[in-house]
Amino acid sequence: MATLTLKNISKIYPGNVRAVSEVNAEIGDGEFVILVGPSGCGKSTLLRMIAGLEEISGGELSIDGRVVNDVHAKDRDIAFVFQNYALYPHMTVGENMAFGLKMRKFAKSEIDHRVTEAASILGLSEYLQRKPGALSGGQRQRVAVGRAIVRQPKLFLFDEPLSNLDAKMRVTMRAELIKLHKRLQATMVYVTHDQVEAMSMGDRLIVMKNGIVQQVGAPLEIYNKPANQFVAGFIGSPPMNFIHCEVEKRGNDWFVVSEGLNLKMPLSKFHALATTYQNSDAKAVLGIRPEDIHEKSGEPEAVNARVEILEQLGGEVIATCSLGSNEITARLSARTQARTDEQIELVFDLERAKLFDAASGRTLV
Amino acid sequence: METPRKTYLHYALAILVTLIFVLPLLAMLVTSLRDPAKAAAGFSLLPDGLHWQNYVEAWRATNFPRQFINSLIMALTVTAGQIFTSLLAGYAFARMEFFGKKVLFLVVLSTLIIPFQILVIPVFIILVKLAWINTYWALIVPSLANAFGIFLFTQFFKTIPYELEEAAYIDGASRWTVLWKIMVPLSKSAITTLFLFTFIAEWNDLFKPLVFTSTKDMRTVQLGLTVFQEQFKVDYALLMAAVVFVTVPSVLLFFLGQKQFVKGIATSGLK
Amino acid sequence: MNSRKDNLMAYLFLLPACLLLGVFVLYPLLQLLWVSLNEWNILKDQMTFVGVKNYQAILAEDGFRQALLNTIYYVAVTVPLGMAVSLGLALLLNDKLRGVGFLRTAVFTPFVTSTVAAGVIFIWLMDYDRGLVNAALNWLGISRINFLQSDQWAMPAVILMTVWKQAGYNMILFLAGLQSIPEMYYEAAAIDGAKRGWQTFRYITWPLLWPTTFFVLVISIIFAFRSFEQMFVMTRGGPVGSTTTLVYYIFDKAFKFGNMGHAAAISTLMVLIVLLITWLQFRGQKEFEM
Repeated sequence: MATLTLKNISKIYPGNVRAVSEVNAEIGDGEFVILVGPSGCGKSTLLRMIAGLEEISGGELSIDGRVVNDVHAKDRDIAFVFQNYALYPHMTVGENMAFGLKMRKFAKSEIDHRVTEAASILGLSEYLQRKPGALSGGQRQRVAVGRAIVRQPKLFLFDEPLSNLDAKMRVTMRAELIKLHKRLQATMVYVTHDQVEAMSMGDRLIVMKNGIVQQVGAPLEIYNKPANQFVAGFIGSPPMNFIHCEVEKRGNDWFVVSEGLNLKMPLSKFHALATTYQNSDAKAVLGIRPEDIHEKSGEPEAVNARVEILEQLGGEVIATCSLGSNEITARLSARTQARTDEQIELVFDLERAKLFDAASGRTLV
Repeated sequence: METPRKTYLHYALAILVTLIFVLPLLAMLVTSLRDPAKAAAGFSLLPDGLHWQNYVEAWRATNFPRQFINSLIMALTVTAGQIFTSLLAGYAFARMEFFGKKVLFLVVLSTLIIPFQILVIPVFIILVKLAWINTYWALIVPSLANAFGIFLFTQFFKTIPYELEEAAYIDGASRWTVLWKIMVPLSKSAITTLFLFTFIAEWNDLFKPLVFTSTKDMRTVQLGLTVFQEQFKVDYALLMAAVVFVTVPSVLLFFLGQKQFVKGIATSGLK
Repeated sequence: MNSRKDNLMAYLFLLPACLLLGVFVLYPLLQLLWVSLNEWNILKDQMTFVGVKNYQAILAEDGFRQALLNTIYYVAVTVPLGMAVSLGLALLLNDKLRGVGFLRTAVFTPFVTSTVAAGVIFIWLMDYDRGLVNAALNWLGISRINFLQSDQWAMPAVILMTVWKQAGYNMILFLAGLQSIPEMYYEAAAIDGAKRGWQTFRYITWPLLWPTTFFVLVISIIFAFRSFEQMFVMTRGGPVGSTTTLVYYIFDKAFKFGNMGHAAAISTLMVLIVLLITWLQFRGQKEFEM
């Protein structure tokens, strides 16, 4: 198994298009790291540079301490699972899995042994003689994974491997990949645009946008302490509410003010607020997750909002409410009495709220 | 929609026109089995028995066996060679980045414009200098590369997903292995098309053997057939028998690979 | 991928094809020009530079003028006739008729027979006493024609054979073109009140088929222009040079009379004509791509 070090890795395409900018990361042995971000954020390009499928324009990439910038893909001892699987259509499932071992001149008996073993792990034993064209999407996905594991590589790379599957199959395969990682204890780098996949699978996430790393951290760390407004909005579903507001200091207290909203910040945030806002009346963005907004009547700090849409999910209800010109989403209990087009009283759990810089989006408080 | 009556008319007309078109070939088959004396006397579409002897006589008359071997050697070698050179060049044009790619591709394509008949004199001079006239070399080597095949494979390779190739690189394959183990097995239909086009063209060619060979034992079937025709002028039963067996290989191949052959033509038209 | 290594590999992959095309197409093209400016003595293998003398000589020859006129005649009749026949076949054997695959194959078969075989068949069909055509003429009460021995009728006979052999190929191109016209245009035309048949052909099929027609036109001109084998087999360029086209004339000059300089000069002129046709093709293509 292996460690992976990225030092100032950049990709610049002709015409000075920066696809990836100065990425730094240290991926430990046996770690499952997710590269996540919206499409076009450079995550796939970064993965392809790690694989050796794309030339590295700048920086240094090392596997196990050895710089591999100029090492050919085949000599990096990595396996790559492609989004569309890239199974060789003219070879059987068994031949597909064996190809990489054959190329590396493994003994026939060793190849057979490994292919049989991988096939049994992945439940493909009865399909070894079939061509990929005769398999379902989920089975093809397994073959693609099988092709990677027979090689026993230092590093597994996955490029959105589940995006071509239907929703149900995706959940199943997600669980299987997690199990597989536990079993193999291999270093894995996994690219996805799906934040649910990212949160549920990874030991650590690297969140990217426009070729730039926004934040690196464990899933919960990123969820609870997003580095900026983009990360806060990207991770979590339904996404965090953002309300443009003014931060005001009245006497010793701090308030956030927006249309239909006049909230006193909790004591625990005072210190941070004081260091950030020397003077009052600063513009900011208040961020609060839907689950941190509760339906509660009779409380003095309750806010009156008007219910626009109710989405009944069975276990819970997602309510979209208007608050003056602001629109907010709240996650309510299934037993809520709220009705569309009626008023509702909401309480914001400001202990868990964030304040972002209105201009840069940086998390301030 | 056409009315049933119109459809019947359409069918009748289609069959009639097709019949007129294949009439020469039908007449050829019938006459190849007619009594030689009667065939030399006058035309008839009606058979007068099955004189298989015509085929035996024609086959023996002017050394067709040797000519068949010559034609086979020429057509098979040229076809194999063209497939090989076109695969390599097509792969380079479709998948590799190198200095001067666009210009070189244009130059290669431009060689399609100039017909061989116009270049025959300088090519003849080159072959004289190489002392290749009247050898297999002269019949084979000048045709071993053709821009059509290169163009065909370049276009075909471009339709094969990149990821397959990348997967193979990660699996440890080299460019060479990728070409032969991944691209070639996936290009069977294009290879079949080029095989049919080239083999049939070479088998049917008269010009090259006419100009580049001089002795009897180097003649190919088409050249042999012209000689046979001169000798047997109005012995039409034997002549038609010879025409039949000279034609069979290319027509048979066409029937076998009809789908690929027709697709090859159709795509060349649509581009 | 590593680009320096790729460069070298790519050149290695291109080497066989490019070497062959260089030696047997590009170099000959230059050599042709050189030979056309020389007098070449085959026996002594001696080149003597004579400038444009070969060109002056051939331009003054009646034989050359006749070959040029014969070529124009041949191309001008074969191309439109062949296109009309094959378009007719394509319309007749189109997809709307179920099970026409067999008929199409039958019509296509002459294309894969060799020109020599087709030529021999047509020599026989055109035979004065024993041929099918004269039998038919006789039956219709028209006097027999000695096609291949007549300087008037030999060329039409050669053209007939060429059209017959080539029609299947052009038909495939036209069929592909017809299939690429979306059915919705016909439906729209039907709703607009166009009658099936001539009106739909005139206002839908013909204009939308034009790119294909243009391609077939170019291909046909190129094929017709380089025709040689049918004349060699059926008439040997005769009678009295009436079927001697430019390529045939080159062949005669070079390999019958051993006058390589003259032959090269004619070839060079033909290269110019080919380039002109290609240039016209590019211009025509631009026209309908806009």
